[in-house]
Amino acid sequence: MYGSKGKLLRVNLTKNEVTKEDLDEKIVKTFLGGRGLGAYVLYRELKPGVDPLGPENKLIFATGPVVGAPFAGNARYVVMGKSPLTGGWGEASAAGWFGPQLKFAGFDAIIVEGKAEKPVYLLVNDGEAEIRDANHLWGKIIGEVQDKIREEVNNDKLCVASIGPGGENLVRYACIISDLHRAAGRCGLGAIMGSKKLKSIAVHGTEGVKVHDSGKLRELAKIAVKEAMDGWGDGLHKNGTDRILEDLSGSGRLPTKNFQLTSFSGDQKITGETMTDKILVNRWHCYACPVGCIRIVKAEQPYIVDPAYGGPEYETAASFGSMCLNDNLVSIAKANELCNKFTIDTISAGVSIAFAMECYEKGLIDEDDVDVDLSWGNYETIVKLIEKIAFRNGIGDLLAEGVMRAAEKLGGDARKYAMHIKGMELPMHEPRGKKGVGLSYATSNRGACHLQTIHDDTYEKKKDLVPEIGLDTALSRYDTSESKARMVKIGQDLWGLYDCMIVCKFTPHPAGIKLKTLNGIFNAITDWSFSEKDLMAVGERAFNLCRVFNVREGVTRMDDTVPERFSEPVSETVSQGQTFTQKTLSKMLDYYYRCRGWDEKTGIPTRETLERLNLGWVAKDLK
Amino acid sequence: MKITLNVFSTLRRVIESKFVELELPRNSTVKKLLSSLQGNYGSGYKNETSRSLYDSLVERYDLFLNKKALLIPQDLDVILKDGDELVILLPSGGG
Repeated sequence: MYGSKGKLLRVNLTKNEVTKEDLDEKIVKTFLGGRGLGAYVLYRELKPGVDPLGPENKLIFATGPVVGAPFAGNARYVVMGKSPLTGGWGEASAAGWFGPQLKFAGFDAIIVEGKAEKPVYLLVNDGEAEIRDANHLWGKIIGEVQDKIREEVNNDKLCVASIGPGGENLVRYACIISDLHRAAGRCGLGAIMGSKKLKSIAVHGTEGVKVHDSGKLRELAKIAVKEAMDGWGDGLHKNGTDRILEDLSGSGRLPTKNFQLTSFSGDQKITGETMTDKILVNRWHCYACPVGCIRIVKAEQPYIVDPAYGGPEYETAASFGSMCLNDNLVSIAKANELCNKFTIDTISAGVSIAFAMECYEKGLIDEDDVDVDLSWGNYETIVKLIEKIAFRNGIGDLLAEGVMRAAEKLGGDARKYAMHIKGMELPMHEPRGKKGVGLSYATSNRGACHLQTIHDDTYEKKKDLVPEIGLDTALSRYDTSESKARMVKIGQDLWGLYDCMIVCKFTPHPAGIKLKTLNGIFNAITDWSFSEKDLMAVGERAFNLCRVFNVREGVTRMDDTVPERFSEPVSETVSQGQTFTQKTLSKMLDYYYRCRGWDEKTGIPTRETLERLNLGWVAKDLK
Repeated sequence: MKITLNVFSTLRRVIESKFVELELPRNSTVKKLLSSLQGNYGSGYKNETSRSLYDSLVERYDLFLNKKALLIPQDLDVILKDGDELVILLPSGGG
């Protein structure tokens, strides 16, 4: 096989055993890798109703056929398991070097099962794997852990993915971080790792990725670089993902004060250009990518911020910034550094803190009950709370449960202020200003997620359409028609495809690399002559399989919702008057389910749809 | 007649203000306004971005006249009135 290695590593922590398994080419051709492969394995190997923090849950680290081959955007890996946050499909992806190194080490994916008696780490090196003692590493922050592992194995090129105290203390939104600042952030996958007493996975390899036509790949990779840099690449390089903050605020679409507002007076102080001016010291590149979107920041006042832990992305700047009415950029950078050291998701943490601030404002949390001042905008509190959450101290223990469970504990009106869908905290894009994203939040398999579909802005203009895959109608960001629902579905299949191949979402459409180029790159690597239609089917298949995973856990149309808050009209600027009500969502769901071939009443994929997608074998599990 | 311009990020830095009041002849079109921005700020924008300001305004940015989205190229011929407000925003694709 070209591209994929045809090899899986199965790690049983209960038995302390590592086995190598063959990965059938047929499975790779059907699911590729990433989300598709993970969903195939987890659907078959997990029984419904398994405790996400129990030994029966599994954790998969997956690459894909194109990961590690030399072109821009090939450097990601996807981690999957049953989420402790949502009780359903859990998935998060990260960038950097871990994905390529796992391929170079000779494996497509690692499946972790069971639970170790004492803390361990996994070492994967040039085709061999070993479970090693990590007692001396437990409790340490990830920088120390990376150094120690590299030292004791005597290999400073090891790429190490770890959990910190957040994962060890089973914070429900604990994450997994590699390269000290690349986070498989969402869904609490770090807590699964913590429950298994697995501290780290360290990988390194020297075997390249086998490519079918390296001449053709080289030619297309050159075109891909130009297309990527002409698209989002240049802007991302200059000012990072946070470059969008100020304009989102200006368009009345910046989550502010726990989504009570949509524009922030402090926007200029925390936007990407200001970060570049004030605290940026370097830009960081993933393997083989010219974009360098990743920020490295340094600061002294009012906090010392260590550049080893990277710098804030847009989501982080908004979740610790505008969401909490905080305009202090260095405090945001500090919160980011601590979330990385302790491995907790910055989005869920920021939304949880904003929730606490609103509960405090509305009298649901008494100042006598907490030892921090939960007033809006208090950046010292934000920074203190990161550590309290990671170590479950005081109110940190409540907030470590996520807003859904925290609201249940507080009772009263608290649930009105808990901004989540299916248990996962909302990211930093306003459904009232991007209504397709709103629909996608409601239908995303991992809970509220902004990375499932193409954002509405990108097909407002005719020139940015891709008619060959059905993205054929220019629509306003505020449109909620049947066409919009259809575009959301197509966007989910396309970005779902990216999560199977795996490619970064910041280089291919709509970020720059044309679908035709990407298709050519895929075929040059794998020798499979896939058409664009074949590729889109992979994305659609994986999305449906994850949906069925959730249906088996009890998810129905009733769970495809958005918070009530979005029924209130926006008061700011060009989005003034916009709402995203349950009624609007319900109408869009009718169109969407029809598009997807799902039962309109229940939201369950029909047998006909499953068979069309070669998933007929799951139909027996659905009523 | 006076038109108010509201800009952000790179444009704000180049124009050196978030809000600008522009004086234009009566019955100027949107196209005239954009051309006049190119005239006044084109070289500053090119220094920052290596791109043409006019081309960027027409191809990359979202333009809102009195809070309503303009469709380009059709609305380039729209005639502006005294007191109109144009907001120029970057679209946001995700991240």
